[in-house]
Amino acid sequence: MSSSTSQPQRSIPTEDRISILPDSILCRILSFLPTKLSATTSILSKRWKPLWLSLLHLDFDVQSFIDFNTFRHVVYSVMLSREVTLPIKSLRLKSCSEHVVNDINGFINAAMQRGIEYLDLEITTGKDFELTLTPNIFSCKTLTVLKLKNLTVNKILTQVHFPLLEILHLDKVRFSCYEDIFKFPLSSPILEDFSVNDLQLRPGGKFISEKFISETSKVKCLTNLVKASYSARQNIPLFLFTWAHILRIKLRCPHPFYKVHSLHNLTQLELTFFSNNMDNIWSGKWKWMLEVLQHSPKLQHLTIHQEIEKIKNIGISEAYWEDPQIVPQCLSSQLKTFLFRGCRGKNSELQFIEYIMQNSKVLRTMTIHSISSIDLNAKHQMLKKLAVWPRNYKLIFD
Amino acid sequence: MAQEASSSTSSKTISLKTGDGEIFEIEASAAKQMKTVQRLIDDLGDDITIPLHNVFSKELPKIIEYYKKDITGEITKDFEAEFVKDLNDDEVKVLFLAANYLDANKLFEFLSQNIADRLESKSVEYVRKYFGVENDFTPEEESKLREERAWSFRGIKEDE
Repeated sequence: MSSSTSQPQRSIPTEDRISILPDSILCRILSFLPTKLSATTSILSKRWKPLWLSLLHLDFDVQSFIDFNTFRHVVYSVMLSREVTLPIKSLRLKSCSEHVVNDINGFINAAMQRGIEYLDLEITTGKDFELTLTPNIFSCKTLTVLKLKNLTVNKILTQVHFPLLEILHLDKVRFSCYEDIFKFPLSSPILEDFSVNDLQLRPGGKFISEKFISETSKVKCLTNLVKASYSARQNIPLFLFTWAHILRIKLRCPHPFYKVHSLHNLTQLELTFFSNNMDNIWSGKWKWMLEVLQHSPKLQHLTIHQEIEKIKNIGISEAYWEDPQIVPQCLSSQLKTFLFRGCRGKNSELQFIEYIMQNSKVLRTMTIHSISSIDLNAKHQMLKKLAVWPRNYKLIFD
Repeated sequence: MAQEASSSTSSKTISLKTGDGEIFEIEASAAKQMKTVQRLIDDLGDDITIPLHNVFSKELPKIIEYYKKDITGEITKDFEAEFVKDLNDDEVKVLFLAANYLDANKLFEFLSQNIADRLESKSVEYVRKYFGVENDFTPEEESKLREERAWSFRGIKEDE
């Protein structure tokens, strides 16, 4: 070939190299643009005119249109302008909820008939939970990704089946019947990423019973789970996360003693204990925490956040501490990092930290952030206590 | 991280020769991610320097850097942001074409997204130049189209 020269000889200028790329490659770039923008490429040239209409990805945000009527008109007309047999692989809709409930469900139905795989629906303006999701979605067998934000799911009367679902994110979704939330993970056999944030229950909605949890927990589910995240005010169904590798949970304190199930794959855990003024102290908190550690033999990274507002009855009752009989296996052989945010310097907290310090054989970094409202004296006392324990890892204190 | 199926190639390096005659080394496991390279290896053997006529010494190191991180599973959003931060639009285009030529899917997807992000705020004329598109519409045809798609042009940056 050409012997090495001092200047790189590009035989064809890059503009020509791009223009000879096939349509499918150009469409790859267009598919990352919101549909409104990809439509503007129709005036680039005659060759480009039909490209945007051959895209299998649709992405509409109501806020980029002057009003919802235009938005609604545009979505309809795009659906109609496209080749009718052309699949819709992905639909991202950010909509308002006023006046368009039937239209939104209509768009979803149209997408389902065209083999939709990725659906991301978010209601961004208007009243919360105004949109009730069409029940047809529960039998959509082509879905691999489902993301829902700010809408209502009425009592599910049909079978739910998501054989291909890999990612499920439910953010600020309101259920009429709390038992229905379980229908999602239980009917998604290959689910890898499961996230529930700010779960809501319709006022007057039925809570789940202990019996329901214990019956449901006997079913093996979510064996492919890699990542999970859950935050809700109600009982957290820990059995769902048995196979998770990465887990983030926000729990409200106090809580009845959650039955802890095996977490045999767990390598990363982030726990937030949340309580406000009206809640009592959860006296068995650290005992429960140790139980979780006992059940997580592979845990390498542990993060604990305490979001506790000022508690009125400070000093009257506190969580108790008791050294466990057996040292959790993860401490002896796995735990590499430990982060504790919102430490108040209470005895039980310091005893927990000390227990971790004394029993972690492979710990590399420990980070303690004290609660922002702590007074300097108490903070200084805490640092003195922490610094005095012998260690061979990095300690960061804030 | 991921275990290589063929242990014999896991620590082997492959020599790549750019269109301007410079030689670079990459791990065999990174070469696997570039399907064009892998095909050439399958045809020519892994002891021969693989010629890449359409990739040059300016961009190949960047591509190698990306896949070095990929095989250790260290590609994060921060890394990707850093990776394109100092590149101008033309440099990204050159990398994109190289990723396409090399059939390096992950890099190709990432750069497609990046190009889309960059073009989002640009004028129609800029996009035409960028893609080397010749406008073959008459002025009347173009203004008619613009009218039909008025909803998409509202809020778009106009040409000078």
